[in-house]
Amino acid sequence: MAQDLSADIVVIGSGVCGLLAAHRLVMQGASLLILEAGPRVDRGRIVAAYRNSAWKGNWMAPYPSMPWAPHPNYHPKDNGYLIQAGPYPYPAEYIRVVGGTIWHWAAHAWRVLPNDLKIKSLYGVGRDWPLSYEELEPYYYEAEVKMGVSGAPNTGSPRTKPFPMEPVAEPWAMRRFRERLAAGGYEVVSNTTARNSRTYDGRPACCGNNNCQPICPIGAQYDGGVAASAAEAAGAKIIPNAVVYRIEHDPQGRIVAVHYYDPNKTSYRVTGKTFILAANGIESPKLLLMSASDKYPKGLANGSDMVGRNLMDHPSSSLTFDAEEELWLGRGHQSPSSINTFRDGAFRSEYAAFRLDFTNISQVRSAAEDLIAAGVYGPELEKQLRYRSAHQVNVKDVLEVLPNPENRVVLSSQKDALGIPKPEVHYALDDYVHKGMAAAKVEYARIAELMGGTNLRYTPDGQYANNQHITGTMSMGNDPKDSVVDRFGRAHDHPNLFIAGTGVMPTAATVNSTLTGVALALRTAQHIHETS
Amino acid sequence: MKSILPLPIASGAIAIALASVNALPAFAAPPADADLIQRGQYLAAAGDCVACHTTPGGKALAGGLSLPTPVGAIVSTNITPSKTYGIGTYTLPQFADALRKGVRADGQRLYPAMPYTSYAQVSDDDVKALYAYFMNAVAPVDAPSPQTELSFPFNIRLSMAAWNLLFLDSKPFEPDPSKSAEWNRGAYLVRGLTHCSACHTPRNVLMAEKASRDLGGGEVGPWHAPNITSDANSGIGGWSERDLIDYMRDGRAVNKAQAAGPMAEAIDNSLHLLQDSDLRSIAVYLKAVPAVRNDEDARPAFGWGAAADDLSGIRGVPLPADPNQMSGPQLYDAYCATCHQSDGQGSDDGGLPSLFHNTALGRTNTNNLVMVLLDGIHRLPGASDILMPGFAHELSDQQIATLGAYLTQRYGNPSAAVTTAQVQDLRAGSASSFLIVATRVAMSAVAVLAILVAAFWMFRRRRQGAAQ
Amino acid sequence: MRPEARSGPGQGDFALLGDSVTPLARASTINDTVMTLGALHGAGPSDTPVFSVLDHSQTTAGSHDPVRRALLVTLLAAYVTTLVSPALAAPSTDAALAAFLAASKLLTGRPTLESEQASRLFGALTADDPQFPEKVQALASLIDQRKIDPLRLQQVLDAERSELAALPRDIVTAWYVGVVGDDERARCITFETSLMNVIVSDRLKPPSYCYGVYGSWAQKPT
Repeated sequence: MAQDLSADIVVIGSGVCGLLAAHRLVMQGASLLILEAGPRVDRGRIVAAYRNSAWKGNWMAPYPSMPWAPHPNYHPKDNGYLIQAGPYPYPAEYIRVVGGTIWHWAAHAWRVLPNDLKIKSLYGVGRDWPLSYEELEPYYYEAEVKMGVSGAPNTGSPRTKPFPMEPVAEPWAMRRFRERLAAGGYEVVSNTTARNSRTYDGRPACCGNNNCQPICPIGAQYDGGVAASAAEAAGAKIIPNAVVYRIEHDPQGRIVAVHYYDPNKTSYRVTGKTFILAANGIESPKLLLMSASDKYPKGLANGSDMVGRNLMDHPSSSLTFDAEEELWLGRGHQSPSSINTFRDGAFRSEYAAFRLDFTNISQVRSAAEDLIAAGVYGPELEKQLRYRSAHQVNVKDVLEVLPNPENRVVLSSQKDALGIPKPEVHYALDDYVHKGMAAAKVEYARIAELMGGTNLRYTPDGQYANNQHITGTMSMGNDPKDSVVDRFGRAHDHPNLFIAGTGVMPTAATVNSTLTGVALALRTAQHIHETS
Repeated sequence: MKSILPLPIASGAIAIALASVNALPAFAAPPADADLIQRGQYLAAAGDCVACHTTPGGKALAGGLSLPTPVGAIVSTNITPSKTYGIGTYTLPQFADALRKGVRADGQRLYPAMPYTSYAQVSDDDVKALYAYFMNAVAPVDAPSPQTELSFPFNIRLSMAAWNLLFLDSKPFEPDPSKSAEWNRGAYLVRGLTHCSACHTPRNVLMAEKASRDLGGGEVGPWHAPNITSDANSGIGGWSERDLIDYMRDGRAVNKAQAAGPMAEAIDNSLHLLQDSDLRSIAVYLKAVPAVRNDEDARPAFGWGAAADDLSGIRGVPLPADPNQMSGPQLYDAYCATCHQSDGQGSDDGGLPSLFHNTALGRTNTNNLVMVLLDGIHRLPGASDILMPGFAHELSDQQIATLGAYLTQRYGNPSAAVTTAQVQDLRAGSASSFLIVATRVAMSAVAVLAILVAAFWMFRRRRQGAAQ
Repeated sequence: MRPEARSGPGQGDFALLGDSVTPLARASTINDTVMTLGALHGAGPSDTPVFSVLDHSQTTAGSHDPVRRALLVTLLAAYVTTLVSPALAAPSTDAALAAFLAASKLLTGRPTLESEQASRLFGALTADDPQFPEKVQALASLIDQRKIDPLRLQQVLDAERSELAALPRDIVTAWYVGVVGDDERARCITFETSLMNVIVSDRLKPPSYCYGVYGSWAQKPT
């Protein structure tokens, strides 16, 4: 026991949800201590690490995975941190550093659709949220202003105020998608993203370097470094390399302290009045389960037995093809445009809704690796590589998975270097997903046709990529019997424990979960401010 | 020395021909000649009044900007036509005296943070236009600006009279008939309203401009105001008129230079607003200013370097755990290469500048390089683009020194040096780097100290003499 | 020295025998290039697509014409001989590096390769496999003796279960992707100068490098 630390509000996890909740609360006068399991990282060094990386397709590679705070990594081989119990692989990625996983993202900062919050009532599937879109809307806007969000006005999410800035200039390739697909009735629009189209909040405009993932080299995209700097400048204190391993409660069930290890496994106890658990949809439930006590044998906040259950993400299938014209993906930002017309409809009672997304990631490296793997050498290699780099394109879906209690995070019997259980995931995808994928495939074919596509390469049926939108594992709801937190993110079982993050989302909808997680976290922060 | 003290202080005696014509009180808001007002507005832009008399985000010309100087903070005044807190009660002669002689309406002396030594050149007609603009088109701000409160002896404004006697040339500009109209117009602007010499001319020990090295380069707080004489190596002799005009209008001359710091502010607030004909006149004049050569300048500052990279030494090499041990090429890779490209050539469209053939890396004085690495290049503060992000928060003094030294060696003047101690000093000064222009001028007050001490000594001697 | 972006094959003029450049003219270019080989500086006098003679694209007009086919094979043989033979004849200390360079030129389809990069890649490949110098000489000899079209080389080696079967892929990956070594042993040796980035540099920057002023990516790539 080295020393005691204390603050009005203790936040576990320095990802974007925890940081922005902390930032808001510290501005309102509370003292804030943020405990982060991983180290501080520096933008420039990550850029250099990326350029020096032998696995440039692995966006986790530039981020250091510390022995005391390992994060999942699968290339060149699975580091064995996130234990796969199957039956379907769930290779989630997240980053345990100051700033969290939002260091590398495509900057998608979507709002859900109003109907996404009531699919049980409307379509008889999934579950309803305990709050309405209108209740969330002001916090969406607050998050958009904080993060510098822009987007198309017509994606189905009503707004009371315009976006704080214009969308980033449309890359040529996306313009051609928009123009050619319009003939087929498709509306290709700018994605809603936290990426600067002008100087904003002291950060420069995008310079189109096509490296949004794994790292924006110039900070034109909102990221973990920006969020952490802002929170610290406002007065929040971040302790890096502080691996929280237990949450301590009193006989009444109030949380009194959290305990963390430093890298040498020296233990520290941190007391506070209010606690916010914001360590993401896998590490947060892991910590709740690890903190089981005589009074709470199933883990904290787990009277419902829902902690860790209802794990959701967004699986993606895709079609890669060679467009008729030269498009040269790779100029500008990575993920500029999408089709939003399949995100809602009566079909949702039968199969999953989805958003269609067009990549603008340079195809050069993947095409080179494919050609070399196929033994294409000599002049033909250069010729075909240029052709593919110019013509190869990809469309994917981002598809809704319904909550299923059997999809879950549990504690593995395996331990990490500090002796802390590793998380273990159980994951399966059902026909609701597969039928949605089949519907998306029909659209892929039409899109390829409109683009004059050849050499069509569909991903194999039933094998989907994952999108790291970890949701559902600490679902919010009005009924303490089937949910972990209430509509403000307060644990049903512990009056001074709040959970911030995408894990409290009851359903996954069809859009990247970050902005919704942040909006919910800001709403939680406001509730804490009003009630404490 | 004796003659210094008895100088008449309230020297409002100088007659100004137009005084009686246009000494209009502000509240009268006469149907002033719109053209005159417009010309006054243009001249006010040329004089860059807002630079010192407006706080960031504050009301225009309402003063209140604190200019840190070695003798204390000098606070700019409210020069809106507010009758209570501004210059709303000034008559034209009073306005002219303040502008050209550094004398307020109440007879008190201004500190030469106000560049009246330059403004002394402004013609009567232009003073009239400026007056019309200030009185009619500037919104009055009825709010006080904080007083300048210097400690003794600098709080004795009277002392400026002595300084003026030594250094204020109150003769208005006289055209040189042997020169072209453009040259004369340029001379009028450069020596007068645009007050280029305030920064670009070195100062003597009493902090007055050294006429012998007019526009030969000066120091502006942590920034270096380069030699802008016609010398081909040390000055702008190698620049075309077009280069100079581009630079003054846009802050950038392709393949030569980009403005940063106080110069970027001067461009955004002032030069950017001038007509091309005036910018051309300034260029014509500058290209004819007698050359001042610094012997160490073996070639023009934009004449160094070539595209090159050190990639083979860093690819596949892990970064050292200690960021201070990162090499120059590693730092360049991590923080610079995204925009300036791996070989320093900038972007293909020229929008992101090359580092070679760039004055930023060609000068032996590397203060501006360090300042740009720390603070970046911000144009039109708060409104438009960050042209280059600063790295004050990301990089240590040692990292900046390593990087700066690498940049000059690799792409610039190899005899230029950057040291950790230099970065440390400049970082300390950089926090208040906005409007260092004025700081630089305000340092003139140091001279006052010298004069006062001398005067005090004489006074005592005289009293002692009397007592005997 | 950096390889320059080249115009040529990838831009659609690959149908060499259908265009106006005669095979003879190209052959003389080949000879010019070959003359620089021994010095290992790789500074060929021309960036013309000499390797076009080896083109087997399905879209290539005339590549299935028997006469042209015969001509191609002849040219290929001549080219391989002039490329590889001097390398094999070099002094033993330089022989492996020379063989590496010769094999690299064939496999990458690039008539000129940057010498420092070649040395670094050779060093990395040798560090991974001490037998690499011998193997690459064996590979160069094999290509020289059998005049194997690089497009068919992998197929041939795989079919014969050759001990050299892994070599071409390692060499081409090193040059094109800039990576040497498998799995955890993989390291990045080059990025910006990796051939995959060089051959598209007239259109694309390597990821993480800016395109230009804001919005410059909205223009049609030209």
